[in-house]
Amino acid sequence: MISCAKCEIPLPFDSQGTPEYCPNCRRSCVGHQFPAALTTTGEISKPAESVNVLGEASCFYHDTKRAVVACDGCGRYLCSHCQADWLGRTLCLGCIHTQREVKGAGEFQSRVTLYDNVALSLLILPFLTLIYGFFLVMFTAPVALYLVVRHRNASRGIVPRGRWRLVLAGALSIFVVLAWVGFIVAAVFFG
Amino acid sequence: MKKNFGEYVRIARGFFGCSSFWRGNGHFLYVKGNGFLLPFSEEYFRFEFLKVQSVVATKTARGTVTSILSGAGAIVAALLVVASISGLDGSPSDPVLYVMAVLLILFAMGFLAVIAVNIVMGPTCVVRIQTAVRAETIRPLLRWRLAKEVLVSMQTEIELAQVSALGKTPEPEQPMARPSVPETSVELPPIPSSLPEES
Ligand SMILES: [Zn+2]
Ligand SMILES: [Zn+2]
Ligand SMILES: [Zn+2]
Repeated sequence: MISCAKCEIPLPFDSQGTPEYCPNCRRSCVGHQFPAALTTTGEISKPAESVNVLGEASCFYHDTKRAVVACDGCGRYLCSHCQADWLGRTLCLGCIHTQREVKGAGEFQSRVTLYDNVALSLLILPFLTLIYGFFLVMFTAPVALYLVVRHRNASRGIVPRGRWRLVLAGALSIFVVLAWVGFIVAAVFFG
Repeated sequence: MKKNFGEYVRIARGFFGCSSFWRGNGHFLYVKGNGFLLPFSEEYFRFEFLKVQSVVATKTARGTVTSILSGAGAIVAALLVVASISGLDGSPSDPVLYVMAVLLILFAMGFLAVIAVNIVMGPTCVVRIQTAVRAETIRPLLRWRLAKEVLVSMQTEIELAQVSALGKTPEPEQPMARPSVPETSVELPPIPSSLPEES
């Protein structure tokens, strides 16, 4: 089934492909349906060849399938059905599960909190209130500083991100905290 | 943001780098950023070539609507600029009016920039990838022209992967074959009772 990306109403289509317009919302559409949509499971599994010569290494999980590669994590032999390429490494599903659930490795997570951006936002967003930002930031800057210190080594996701946001957030929050401390001290002693 | 890392090559990126779309080995990676101005968190979606059921792009009027609203905003800002400048009369409130005029000019320029981006980048669209388990809108592919180009190359890659996998998959399970032994055994020479002595 192939649906309009906007209104999600199924698009009628023939052997020529999809129509140029959604019959429901009349918007222009381009799209394509792939053979996977027509299979019983809705997806195509990777082809794996059977072991056909005695003594040939077989998959750890499927003893009738020919092993094509060893897992970079545990070294078990895997058929092409069981191997998963994960950021340049070949792993079995067991190792991916271990990394994701047990070790909590950042590059295996499906969701990552970007603490550097959260800290920066705590310092910048108060200024959306213009002049009140100078007072609000007195309360948000210590929180930002705490996040920077607490999560300085946290995973920053799959896509490489530099440390500069974290460093900038740390420097800005220290500056704001020092400025407010200085202001209060000055007010108490000289004001 | 990098154009490629590891096995990934960037196909598209969203506003402020909030989300991005990448091509990897045998799959596409969609990085979905959630936040306000800056992404506070990222979600990762892998779309294996063999599991994609369909990709569809639908053209939307969002670009036109934002252009019209921005045009209206720019006109309002320009009128307010004229009003605040005409209010200048040498009174103590003049500096406030100056600051207001400058801010309003900045707003008007922002609105005009939105219109300019919409004209340069062309009409907007929505792109969805459908698999057996989920349908996901790929937010970085929001321009119709770019999306159509990307869809063509995605179609070629996905189709190729699926057709070649289907060609190999139907393989009947056979009992393991053993090396056959000929029925009529060939007469073997008798084993000598003792090895000939080496001379
Ligand atoms: Zn529609
Ligand atoms: Zn493993
Ligand atoms: Zn296997």
